[in-house]
Amino acid sequence: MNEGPLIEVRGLTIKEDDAVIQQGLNFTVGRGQIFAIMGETGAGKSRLIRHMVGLDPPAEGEVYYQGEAFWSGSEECRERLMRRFGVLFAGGALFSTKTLIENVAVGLRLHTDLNPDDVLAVARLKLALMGLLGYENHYPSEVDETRRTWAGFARATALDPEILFLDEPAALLDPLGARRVDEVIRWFRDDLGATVVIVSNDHETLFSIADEAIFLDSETNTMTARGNPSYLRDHSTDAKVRAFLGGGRE
Amino acid sequence: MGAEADQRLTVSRDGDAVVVQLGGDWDLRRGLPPTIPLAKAINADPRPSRLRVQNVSLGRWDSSLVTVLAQIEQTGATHGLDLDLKEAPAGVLRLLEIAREGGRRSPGALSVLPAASPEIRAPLPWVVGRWVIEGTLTLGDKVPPLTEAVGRFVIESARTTGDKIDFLGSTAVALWRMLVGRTWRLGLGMTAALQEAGVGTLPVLAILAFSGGAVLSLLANQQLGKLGAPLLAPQLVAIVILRELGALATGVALAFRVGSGIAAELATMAAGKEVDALRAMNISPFDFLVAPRVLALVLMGPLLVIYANALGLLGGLFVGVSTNEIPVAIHLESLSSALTLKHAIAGLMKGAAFGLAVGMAGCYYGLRSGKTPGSVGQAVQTGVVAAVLGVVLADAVLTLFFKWVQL
Repeated sequence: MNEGPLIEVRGLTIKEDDAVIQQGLNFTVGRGQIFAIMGETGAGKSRLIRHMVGLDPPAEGEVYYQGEAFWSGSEECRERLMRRFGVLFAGGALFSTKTLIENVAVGLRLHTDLNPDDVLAVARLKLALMGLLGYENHYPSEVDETRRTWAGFARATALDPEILFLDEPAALLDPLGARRVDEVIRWFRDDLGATVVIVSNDHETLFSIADEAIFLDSETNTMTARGNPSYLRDHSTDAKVRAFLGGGRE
Repeated sequence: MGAEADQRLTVSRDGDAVVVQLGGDWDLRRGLPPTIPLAKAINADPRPSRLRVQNVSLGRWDSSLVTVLAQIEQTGATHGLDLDLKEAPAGVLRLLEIAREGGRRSPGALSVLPAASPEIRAPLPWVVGRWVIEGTLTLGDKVPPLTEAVGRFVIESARTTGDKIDFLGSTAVALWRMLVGRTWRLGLGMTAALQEAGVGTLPVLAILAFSGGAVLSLLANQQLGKLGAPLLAPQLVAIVILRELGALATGVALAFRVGSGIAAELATMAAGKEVDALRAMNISPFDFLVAPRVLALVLMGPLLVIYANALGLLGGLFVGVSTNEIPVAIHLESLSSALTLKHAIAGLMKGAAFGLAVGMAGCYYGLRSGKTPGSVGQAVQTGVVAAVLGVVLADAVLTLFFKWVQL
C-alpha cells in the first residue's frame, strides 16, 4: 500500500479576485500528524483550507491525497475524498434551522447505514465528548458562541474523519477552552487515528500539540518557514517568524 | 492492511455473569450491532448480578465501539449489575470517561446516553422581520442617473444570465431528487417551510384580497351602472377575482412576506458559512435549502389563491350589496353564474407559478449574496424586487398562454 505522505500540496497559488495572496506553496502532511498553518491575518490561511477541503479550486497548483489529485480528478473522486474529511469553520457555522444533535446527525444519516436510533446515540456521544449533554435539543441561536464552537467540533468529528481540518477552533474560546481544544485534538489523533490540519496562531497550541507548522507571510506572499514550532521559534532563518513565535528577542 | 473482519457482539451467560464478547473490526459507516441479545440475557431468569465485557481479537475500532460500550454501561447501570470493562481497549475507556465527564458537567443530563428519544420541538420561526425593515430602508447611498442605472441593469443581467439558468437547472434537479425521495433523510424542514409560506402569509393576504375585491366591486358597480347594466357587475367582479386578482394578490403577498424572508434567511446562512459547511459535507445547498422552500411555495400558492378568492369575493359582495339597489338574491345569482371551474383553474395555476417565481427569486438572491452580514439587507432588497417582477412577468406570460389555449 502507498505509504507516502497523506496530503501533499504542490505549487499552490491562492488568489483573491486577481491579486495573488500566496504562491508557490509546497508542503506535505504525514499520516497522524498535527499540522499547523500560521500567519498574519489576511495571509490566506483560511483560503488555503478552503482549497484543501474542496470548497474553492486553487488558482494554480494541486492538492494530492495519497498521491491522488484532488482538483484535476473527476467530481466523484473529489466527493469520495471529501467524505474522509471533517471540517470545523471558525465559529462553528452550525445549521441554524437544526438543533445541535440534528447538526451532528446530518452527516451520519447521509453517509452511514446506521439506523435512526443509532444515529442519535452516536450523535449524543459526540456531544458528550464535547461537554454538551443537556443541550441536544437547543437551536444554535439558543446557546452561546462557545457552545456553538463545540457543537461545530462535534459535527466535524461525527464520522470519525480521517483528516480533520480546523479553522481557528479556539478563536471564540477563553484560554481554558483553548487548552481543552488542544486536548480534544490529541484524543482524535491518538485514539481515533485522525490526521489534523489546524489554522492557529495560538502559541500554546502550536508549542504543545503541533508536530509541524508552516508560516504564511503576507509580505513575500509565500511560506517563509516550515518545521516544528518550538524549533522555529529559536532557529528559524526568518527573523519575522522567530518574533511571531515569541522567540529571538535576546 | 489485512482483510476486514466484521464487528462481532455476542452475549453469553457464565454463572451469575452476563458476558459480552466484542471482536472484529468496528466501522461507524457500517452501522452498530443490535444490543437486543444483551437486554434478553439480562432479563433472563435467574437474574444475573454481573456484566463482563470480553475482548475476543478486537481489531480496529472507532466511535461505534465507544457508543456501544456506553450503551452496555448504561444498560448495566440501570439493572444494577457489577460492571467489568477491564478488557476494553484503553483508548475506548478513555473516551468513555471523557464522555461521562461531559455528561456530569451538563445540567439536567445524568447519564451519558439516555435512551434515544429526541423531544419534538416546534420549528424555529424564521426570525427575519427586523432584517427586512433594515434592508428596505437603506435604499443605496447615491442614486445613479437613470441612463446609467438602465445600462448597468442590462449589462449585469446579461452577465448573470448563464448563472441564473444554471441555478434553475440545479433547482430542477434538486426538486426531482426530493420528489423521488433521495434527499429526505437530510431532514429538510418541510413543515417549517410550508408553515412559513402558508400560515405566515394569511393575514397580509386577507387584507390585500378583501380590499382589492371591495375596490373592484365599487368601480364595477359605478361604471356598469352608468351604462345601465348593473347586473353585469357581480359577474365581472367574480371573473376578475378568480382569474387575476386573487392570484396576483397571492403572488405579491408571497413576494413581500416569504420572498423577503427566504432571501434574508439564506443570505444570513451564507454569511455565517453555513452554506460552506453544507458543501464541505457533500450536501448540495439546492437539495437542502432551495428545493424544500421552492416546493413549499409551489404547493401553497394554489391553496392561498383559494383563500384569496374567497376573501376577494366576500369584499366584492360586501360593497356590491351595500351600494347597489339590486336585491341580494339576484346579486348572488349573477355572481355565481361566473364562478366556473375554468376561471378557478386559471387562477390556481397562476398561484403555483407565482410561488415558483417567488421561491426562485428569494433563493437566488439569498444564496448569491456577499459573504458579510451587511450584504443581507441588499439580498433582501434585490430579492423582493426580483420576486415581484417575476410574479408580474409570469402573470403576463400565463395570461397570454391561457388566451392561446382558450382556458
